[in-house]
Amino acid sequence: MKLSRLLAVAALTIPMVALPGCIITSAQILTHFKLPNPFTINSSVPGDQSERVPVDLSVDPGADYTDNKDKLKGLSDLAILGTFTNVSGPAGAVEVYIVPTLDQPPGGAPAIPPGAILLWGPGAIGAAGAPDGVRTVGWDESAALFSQAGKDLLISEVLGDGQFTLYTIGTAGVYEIRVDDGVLVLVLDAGN
Amino acid sequence: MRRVFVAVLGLALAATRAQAADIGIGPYGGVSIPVLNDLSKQGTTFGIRVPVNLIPLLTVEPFYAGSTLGDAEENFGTPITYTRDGGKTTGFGVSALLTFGTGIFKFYPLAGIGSYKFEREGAEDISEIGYNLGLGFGVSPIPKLMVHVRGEFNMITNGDTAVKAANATVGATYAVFSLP
Repeated sequence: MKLSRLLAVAALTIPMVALPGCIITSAQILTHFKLPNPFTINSSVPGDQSERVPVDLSVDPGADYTDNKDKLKGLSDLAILGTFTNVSGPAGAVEVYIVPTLDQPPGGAPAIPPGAILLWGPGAIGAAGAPDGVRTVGWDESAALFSQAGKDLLISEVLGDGQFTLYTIGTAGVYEIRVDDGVLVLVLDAGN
Repeated sequence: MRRVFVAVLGLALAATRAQAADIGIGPYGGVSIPVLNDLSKQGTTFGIRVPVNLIPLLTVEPFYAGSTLGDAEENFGTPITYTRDGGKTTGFGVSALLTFGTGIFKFYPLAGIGSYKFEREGAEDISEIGYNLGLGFGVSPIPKLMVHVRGEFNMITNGDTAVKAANATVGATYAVFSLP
């Protein structure tokens, strides 16, 4: 009976002992970075065809990021949220690109730089004046619009220096799109 | 995964001697509370257990488990409230219960291992090994029927991290037959 008790206890405890401590103490932490509010991209205004958004996570969101940086394992969820308004132009879409450098200055840019990687999109938007010409992108919908290559670069930057730059651009030949209350949502995987 | 599964089952079976085995079946349900997870809220859990009582001390219990976690809501300081799918989990595995007590009242710590799938809309599915650890209490109001109340900690591994939940469940099992 002593042997059977010992074996039974072993059967109960072996799976738990085999687990690394970081798995047991890991957490999914929700944080976000606010995009400029509002910003507009306009294909017919030189130097304003895209929006350059330098992101330094140690500044915004700040403590949520820096306090957990040494424990970060990755990102478990991402989203770009906001209300997209087609001010003038046909139906099209919005795309967000990422580069690993902290490009300056923030604001309008003539185009996305060479080597930028598609991060998010296309987020479809209807023609100006149409019912779907104003769209608030849902959280679930947005999470599905990330490209794997862009996501990999973003994860690398979040685990690295926390600095990168986003470029937002329209896909239609002619566009003027305003983005209100834009937010980059990150769910950090952290563990000891 | 298969090796761990076989190892646990083998140890459990090795703990037995050639004695009678009661085999039961029964459903359970309860609440599932995400642990250290900002992206899910409290939800429900349900499943089926098939306890095989090998000796008075030990019960091996294959199970099917499912849970649906509550959606997360957040406005991020904007006028709009956004909703994120809390996700759902399905899985099967086996638990080992170290049972103490009489035929009417039983108390048992338990540990288990299983193969789980975690799905969330707009995200890639996670199919990984999961573990559960907990405590249970059983009452048998009539012969062959046992009512169980359990608290379990469940975690599905995902690389260096895990999706974790605390489950509180109520269930019942009925001993369908005994092997001599």
